[in-house]
Amino acid sequence: MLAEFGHFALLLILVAGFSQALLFSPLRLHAGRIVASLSFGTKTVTAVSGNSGNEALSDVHEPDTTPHSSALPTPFPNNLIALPLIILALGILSQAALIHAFVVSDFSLPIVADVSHSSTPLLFRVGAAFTPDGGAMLLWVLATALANIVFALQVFRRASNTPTTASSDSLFIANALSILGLVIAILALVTLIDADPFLRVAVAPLDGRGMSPQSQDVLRILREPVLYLGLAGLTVIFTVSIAGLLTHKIDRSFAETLRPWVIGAWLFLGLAIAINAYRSYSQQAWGNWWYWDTAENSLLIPWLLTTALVHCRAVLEKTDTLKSWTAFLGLSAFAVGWFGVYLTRSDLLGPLTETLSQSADSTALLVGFCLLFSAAYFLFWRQSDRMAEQKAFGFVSRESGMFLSSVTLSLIAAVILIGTIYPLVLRWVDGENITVGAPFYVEALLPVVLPLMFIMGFAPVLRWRQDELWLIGRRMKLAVMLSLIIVLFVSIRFIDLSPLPLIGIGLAGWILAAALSDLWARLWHQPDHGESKYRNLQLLGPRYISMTLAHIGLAILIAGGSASAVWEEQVVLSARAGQSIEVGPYNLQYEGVALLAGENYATRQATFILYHHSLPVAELFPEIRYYPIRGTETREADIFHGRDGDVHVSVGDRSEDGGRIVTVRFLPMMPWVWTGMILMLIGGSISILTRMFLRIRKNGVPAS
Amino acid sequence: MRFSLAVIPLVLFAALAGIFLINIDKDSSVVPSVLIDKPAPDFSLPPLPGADKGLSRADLTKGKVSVLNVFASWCIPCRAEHPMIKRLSNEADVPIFGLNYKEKDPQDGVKWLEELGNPYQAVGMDLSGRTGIDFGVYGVPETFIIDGQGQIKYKHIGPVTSEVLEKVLLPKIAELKG
Repeated sequence: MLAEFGHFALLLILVAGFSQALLFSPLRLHAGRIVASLSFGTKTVTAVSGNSGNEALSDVHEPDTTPHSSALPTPFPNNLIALPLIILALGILSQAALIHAFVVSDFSLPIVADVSHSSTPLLFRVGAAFTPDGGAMLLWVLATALANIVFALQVFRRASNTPTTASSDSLFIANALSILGLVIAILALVTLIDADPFLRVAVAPLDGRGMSPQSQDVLRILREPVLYLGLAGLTVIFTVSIAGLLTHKIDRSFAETLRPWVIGAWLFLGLAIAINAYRSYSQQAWGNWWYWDTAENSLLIPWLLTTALVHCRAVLEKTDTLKSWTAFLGLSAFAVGWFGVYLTRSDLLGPLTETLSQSADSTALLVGFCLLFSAAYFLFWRQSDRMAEQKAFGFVSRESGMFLSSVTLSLIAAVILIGTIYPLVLRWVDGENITVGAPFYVEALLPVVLPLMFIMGFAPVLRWRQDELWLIGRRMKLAVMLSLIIVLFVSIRFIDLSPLPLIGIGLAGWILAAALSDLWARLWHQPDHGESKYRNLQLLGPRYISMTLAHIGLAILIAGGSASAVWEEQVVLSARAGQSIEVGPYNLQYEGVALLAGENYATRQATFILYHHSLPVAELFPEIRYYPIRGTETREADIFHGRDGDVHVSVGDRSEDGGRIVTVRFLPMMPWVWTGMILMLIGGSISILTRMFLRIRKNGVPAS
Repeated sequence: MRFSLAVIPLVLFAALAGIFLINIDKDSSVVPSVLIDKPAPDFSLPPLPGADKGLSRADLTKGKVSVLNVFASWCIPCRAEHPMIKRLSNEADVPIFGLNYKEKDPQDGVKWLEELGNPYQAVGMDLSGRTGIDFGVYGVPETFIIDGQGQIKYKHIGPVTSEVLEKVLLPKIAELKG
């Protein structure tokens, strides 16, 4: 019966979302209706919310005619968080109901029967709740509800800190909350139409089909909540941008409101990408960390746009310029995020193995996407010409550097988007099936990535407003020399290296050298505060530190990626127990295969002892798992992360001569890739955490 | 100038959305099968426990248009489409063969047919899934229409709904019968 509660809660989310959209919509505020009974408003609006979809959509354009309202009836701040709180509670309720159905293996729900089985371990039964369409949509709704309440708290605190909130400010807040409610309602509606997770069948099967073995992985399960939290962050960015467009309030305080969301979304999407990369590296036995497949691209594109947004938002906050561009990126980041979900959820790009017997229907997801974003871009078109930039900046300035980098980042995103949907469009146009793979992306992206990385080196040392070229030259000379030395060293040391990885390594060296020399200059050459180095470190501020960390992280990532691709060593052989395999500086001794039982699988686990200079350093256990429920095998590689590189071992079938096929790869500098990713994520976290820490210290415990 | 620039996102978005919306009906499950207009692969499958007759390629080449339906007891859409397969056997005068795909226990298929009714003239049991692979099956249910010479003429992926039955399968069968 709990599933029915969940279903009802999902329906109520739809209602409450529309209520929030209506209650906070300027329409209603203008009507001057009493909104004091906001928390109980749900019931009164229930009656109209059924057909209010169009109404709510048209609200988006409404304040166009009356942008500057006078005094508002003050529905907030007191009741501001009541409705978001209700939505969050409902979201938790319906998610809990679904997870409960998976935990108790209620196979009368087809969604459970399709991707779960009574023998699936508990953790994966919970994780299975997120893999099918309906479950994932529900998670998305929940994440958005969470972002909704956090955003409400954020504006609530701001409103209560400044008692005399300007009316345009409250209008801005009301607009943002209204659209957030609308998005939640649309998502809930899409869930109900496309893939209602709570449907029942009359005759329940005796047992489920089992979870796809590829998904039975802790990282795979972690990825889903992280991904949807990132998307929820994008949702808030989107709604804040719309509200800013509506009220002509794209200014510094707008940028400040946006700040935690932009960095938060960047962080979560980046984490999802990192998890995805490590998972495909470790689980699928062929062990690459990036494939340019749809699922990966649909994470990368919004992440790139969010990265662009991080930069131009900073410019907006600092100098009050780049208004339209920031708003455009704010809209587009969520647009591509949603579109990415659509691409991966629908079976447009070939049938998905994970949803075998389900006919995935994502029509409503697409229709909702088209409606919401055509309204958004229409609004952008109508409003952005009223936001002419008042101030200009010199071509050689920090603004211009950051603007250029955000443009190139968006170009990269556009190229990847085109590469992702081009095969689809081609198939529709002349029925031809092609695949776009790594060669295309490398060729098409190179002309955009190279200038970006070049800009990345010196943009952080530019001065705001106006700078002089010769001054830059003076500041950058150390970095230029260092990166030239690196390129020269690598090209002489490895004389037959092809130019491409050399360029990658050189540019990584350039970014690294530029970031470090700037850091060094700030720490030791600061004339004003020469008395204390520690003071200099403090003066850098969390923003500078997080930026530098993220840039260094990217440099390390690129260097590691290039190097591991070039100097990879691979050995494939048919090994017998006791045999020794030499790879790179390591020696791998094969001990044999044991047949073991896992919780819901049988596994052939091979044992290897890894020697480094004849000293044993680790034992590695690659496996072939057989999952009897689905009757499929997965091959789990085992990886040793050494200081000089990763040793990646996987085993295959028995070969004809009685040995075991063993694939060993030594990927030098591969740990650099993971270190780089982690550094970037730490950089983002520092930026958010210090901010939160400072705020709590200033205001005491945040009111909630 | 600004006016014209700001409209670009809208135009681009509309174009993209248009392409996707127009093609939303293009059922992507009609993946061009490499086997269309090719002879059905050679196979010979044992019968279900208790039945006397299995299924082999010879059954498909008796000069009559036939339908091959891939099903499994663990597949929920199969349960949903089963009434349609029964309707098909009533409305189209063609032999319908079943390919019982990857059962864990051979008895599962028997129980399933006892419970829901058996519209199949003969059922082959493909426990290993090898024949399914030869047919290019990548999900259950799938339904093949095969002409009298054993050539695969049409392949439907996913459950047969009444719409698919009336608008696709029956006309196709009628057309093949001439």
